[in-house]
Amino acid sequence: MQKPNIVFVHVDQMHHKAISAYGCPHVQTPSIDRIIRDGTSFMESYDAMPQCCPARASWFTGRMSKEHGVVVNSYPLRPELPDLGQWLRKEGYETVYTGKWHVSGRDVRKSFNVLHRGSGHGELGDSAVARSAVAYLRNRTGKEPFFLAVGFLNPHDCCYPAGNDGGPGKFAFAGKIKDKLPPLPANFDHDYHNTGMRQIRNWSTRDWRYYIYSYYRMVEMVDAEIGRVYDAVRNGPHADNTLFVFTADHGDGLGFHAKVSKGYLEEEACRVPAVLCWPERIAAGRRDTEHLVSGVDIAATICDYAGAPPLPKMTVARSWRPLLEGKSIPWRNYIVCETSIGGLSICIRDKRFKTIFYPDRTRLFDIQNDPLETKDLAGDAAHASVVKRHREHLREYLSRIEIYPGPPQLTQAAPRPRRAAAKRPRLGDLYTPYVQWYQKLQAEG
Amino acid sequence: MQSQRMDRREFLQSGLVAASLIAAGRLPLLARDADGGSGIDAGGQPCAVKPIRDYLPTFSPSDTQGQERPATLHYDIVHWSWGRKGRGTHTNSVVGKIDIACTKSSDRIVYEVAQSTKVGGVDNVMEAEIACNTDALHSIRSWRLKSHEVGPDGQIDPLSKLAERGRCENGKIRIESDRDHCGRLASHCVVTQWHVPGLLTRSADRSLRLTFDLLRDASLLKPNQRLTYDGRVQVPVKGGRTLALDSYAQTGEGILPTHYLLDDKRRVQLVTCSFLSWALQR
Repeated sequence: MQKPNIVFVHVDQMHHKAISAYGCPHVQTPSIDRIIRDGTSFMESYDAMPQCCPARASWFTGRMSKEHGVVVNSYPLRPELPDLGQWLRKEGYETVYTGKWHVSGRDVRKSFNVLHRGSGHGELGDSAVARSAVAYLRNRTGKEPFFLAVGFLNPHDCCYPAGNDGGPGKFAFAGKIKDKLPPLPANFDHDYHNTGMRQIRNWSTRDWRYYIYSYYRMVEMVDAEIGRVYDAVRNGPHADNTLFVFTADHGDGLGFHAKVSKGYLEEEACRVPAVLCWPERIAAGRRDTEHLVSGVDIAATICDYAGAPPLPKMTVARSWRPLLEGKSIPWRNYIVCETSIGGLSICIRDKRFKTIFYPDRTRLFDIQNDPLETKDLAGDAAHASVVKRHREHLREYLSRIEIYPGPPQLTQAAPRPRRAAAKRPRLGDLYTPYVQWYQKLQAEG
Repeated sequence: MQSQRMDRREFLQSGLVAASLIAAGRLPLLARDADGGSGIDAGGQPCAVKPIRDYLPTFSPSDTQGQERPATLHYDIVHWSWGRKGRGTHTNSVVGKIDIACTKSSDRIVYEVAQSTKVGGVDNVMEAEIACNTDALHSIRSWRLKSHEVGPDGQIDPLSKLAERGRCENGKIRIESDRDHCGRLASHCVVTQWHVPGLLTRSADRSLRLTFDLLRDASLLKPNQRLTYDGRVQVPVKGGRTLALDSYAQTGEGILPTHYLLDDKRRVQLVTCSFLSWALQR
């Protein structure tokens, strides 16, 4: 059988609810809606870690962040780990990349033919990225199957309009479009002036609503670009033999819990859309609410469809292909998401509950009945068994992964690079804490 | 006229009433907006020029020397980005240019557009020829669009070449290439972003309330756009001068609020979005 082409379209910082097909009334995403209609959505989909580089490194290596070494954006990928580009190239694929890559420590050009590098701003670069992808799909002459990864930046532009440097956002304009501003989320924390993230404490509630309004417009901007690529795939010569994968590296606060940005383990940051379609091969319009899936599974899924062997040592990653083909197979009963931003934390999510473990405390939420995570049940004796069970899951997870202690040279004192920002952690600063914490958790078992 | 005196008791009473009204937010001139106004933009320059505030001191408004409505508009594309001086700084730089030429005949109007933007180290070149109806908006009828990338070595990347043609009839948009085609449905008159400066030059008015669909880059449909007058703003420009410009605001699906700033001859001198703006050169 001829190997399929694979088009992997990913966006940056997309809240899992910011899609009109999923019921959001404040945004119009006709292109993503079409992909959802044409394919199968995983509704219980999470990133491996809610920050750009770590999440992307998980997509492309099939390893968790504490395995591949990209524990925050500035940390490099373990050099010995192969990535999907290198792997599929060995399997006879033409591997092609356009747009945002952002896997620190790995030169994308060594793994893919690069069409366009995009820009740090979606408003500037996303159209050029889409055009490069469409041009490639129309102009390519090779006979080998291709793996095209398309990295759009938006709605990540939301990070800058209200930056501490003043940003380009027109927040004063909000008063002119009051009737168009979306409401604050139901779990908005009105005490944010005192307890919120530092960068948003001086925002007014109108600023918040304008932020959310702008965010939805950025989603619509990238939606149009996604539609352009999707049209070129589905209406072009590769239509019948191309698997289309759509997801996001992580979410955005979007005002939920009065948060912006990412890096933490609440649903708004670590839950992401994930849709796959392939006419006649993958059920159209299906929403899988049963299976917990992770961004770390992307590599396993793509290898499976490409007929390639799994990437080495994929400890927790699993292919979604059997699920997409409607096969009844044993599936994981919990999923893990971890972070090193703002301190260490790691969450275990099962079908109903989510526990977030920190080195000094634990929080528990009933996601099924309290999807907005408004009531912490960790101190509730009736739920002590849930936390206990999740702690056992956590230890099992830690026993399965290959905890990366950092590169050998970092065990020696590494000089701080002269140009590094003063507040940026020194390379090596973040390895030891999680290694020690994870060892302690394992020992407790 | 007999002066009225306020004794100490009356003064304290009225002061107390005013204080309680202020506390309750019921003295409109003193109370904060019910939704808090803007904490981010408080006291800053007009938000319409916020994305290009560092460019403005170098901007000299274009004067066409008596030519009221030039047939060709030349804009610089100005990018907002972070400054090199570290955290808390920002800067504007010119990353491209747009030329928009418009010719009219009895049965149609033709826009010729040449746009070049440097993104990711390469020049992204786009050329469009758009035939439009002769209605007030110059709604689009058919077009040809070509684009390609030019690398740092000056060579065109053959893999980047795109050629498309399209047409719009009764809201049905069809875009074709030699390899594929796609369709979109519009619910209003359709124009491109290159049409709007000319549209405002022809019809800007403080009572303006336009609704249209935008086909950005003759490719991406952005429905339900609204264009309205947004007030007169004072804009600091080159030489320490301040220019009074009329601003028009466009809002709608798939775009961030976009301002068009017109001089007294209704020339669109500046167009600001968020990260990208246009500045009229000649």
